[in-house]
Amino acid sequence: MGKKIRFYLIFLIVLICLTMLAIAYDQYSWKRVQSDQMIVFQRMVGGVGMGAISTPIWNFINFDPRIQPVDDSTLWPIPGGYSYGPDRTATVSYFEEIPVNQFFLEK
Amino acid sequence: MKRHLNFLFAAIGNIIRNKVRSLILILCLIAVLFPFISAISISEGIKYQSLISIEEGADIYVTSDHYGSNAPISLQYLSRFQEMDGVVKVFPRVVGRTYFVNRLAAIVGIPSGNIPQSIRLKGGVIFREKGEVVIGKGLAKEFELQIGVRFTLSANPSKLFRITGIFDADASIWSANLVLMDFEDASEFFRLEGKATDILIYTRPGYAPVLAREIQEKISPSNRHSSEPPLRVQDKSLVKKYFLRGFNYKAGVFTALYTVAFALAIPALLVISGFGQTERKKEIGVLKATGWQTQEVMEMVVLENLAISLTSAPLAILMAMAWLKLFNGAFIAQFFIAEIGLMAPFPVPSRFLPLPCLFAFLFAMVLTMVGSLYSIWKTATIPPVEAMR
Repeated sequence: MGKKIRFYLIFLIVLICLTMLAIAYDQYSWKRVQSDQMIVFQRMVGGVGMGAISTPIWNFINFDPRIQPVDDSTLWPIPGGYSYGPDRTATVSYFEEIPVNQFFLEK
Repeated sequence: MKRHLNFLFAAIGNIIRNKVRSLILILCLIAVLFPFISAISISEGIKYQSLISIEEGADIYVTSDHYGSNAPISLQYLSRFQEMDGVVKVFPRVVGRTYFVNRLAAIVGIPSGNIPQSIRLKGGVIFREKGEVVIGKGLAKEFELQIGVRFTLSANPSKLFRITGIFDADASIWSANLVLMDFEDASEFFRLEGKATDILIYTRPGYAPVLAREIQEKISPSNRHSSEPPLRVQDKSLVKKYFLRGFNYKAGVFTALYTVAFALAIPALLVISGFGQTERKKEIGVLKATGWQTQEVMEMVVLENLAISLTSAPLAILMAMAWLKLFNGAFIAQFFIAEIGLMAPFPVPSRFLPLPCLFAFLFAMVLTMVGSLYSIWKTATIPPVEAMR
């Protein structure tokens, strides 16, 4: 085994160990969050916020069900099947409201 | 075992000998994996913060239901909810939105009695008197707002606000563009006094589903003799279901699109460019001429790809980690978190889980294999003289 090959192998082992340690440290740092300001803030406001967003732009992929029941841009009476709602920032996929039965047959 | 180790040393020798080819391949893989790892870890970070918002939030949220959408709920319900067995705490909340010039901001109004002593602000104090507000760091920075500044908002220009504090950036990504005020102030601002956006109910453990059903059946005026609009009741488990569904869709769609795009792009690039193919063909020809079997050549190439993947995946993970943790995801976080600009005014949440990191390594492995195995096998099966020509 040449000197360069040995050096590369050592580099590879060090790199993998360093990455594993970094991932483990990241996991540990997220566990410490339990006593953090994040908890105090959410407890204070009663829980708010969802999705990759920092302002209340509500659409199906970012909306907070505690604030908005559905993505109502889809309810707008625009013909053609495609939603042109200005709140809609993504068109690739959607998820639907969890259905709650409101239909009862009278006997 | 020794034989396989020798193949590994030969593979690493190949990587070192063909420095330019290996370097380009490693850089290409890092370029592919870096955004993938960054996106997944930001998504996981936000997911974790969202789950905190559920766990620390109320057990039941009640709003009025007008035409199938959320509507303000009367504060008269407060006392009825408080009297229910199993209820620990009830308070109303106002959540609305407004614009600061072109920046969308959330207005949250909560009773001042609900503010904990342990809340830490970047500067100033929490509101105590009428018209006092605490604002997010993002708004403060963007509009150079300082403690003591007075302002009005066009939704109700008669309502004058004074900034008494600025939120700590560590609180949550949702605190960046937030204006927090007393519940009464928020009701006055939106001109909906006597009403709240929702009523938050905290219950004893295990009571939430039962109480949610009881509110829906007994308290909600959805029976046929009532002229009031019905109530919309959500418990913690329902909100959690929505959140997990949303995040799984988001991460799943991103991963699927990313995988398809790059799985197609990389072999296509390799085929089109043909970079290093002539050199590689000659190398294989020499190996075959010196007595190497096709399967031995293939094993060496697999080990070479393994070493390349083991180099690029950890490097991409470490680079993504450094970029997100040390430079707060500058320039790239805005692709994954809407409305934050080039430099996020809060610590960008990122969580590096072992599974996506392992997936990144497998991704690199598959890409290098797809790009090399077939062409190597084809070269290894032709006569050595032809390969060396």
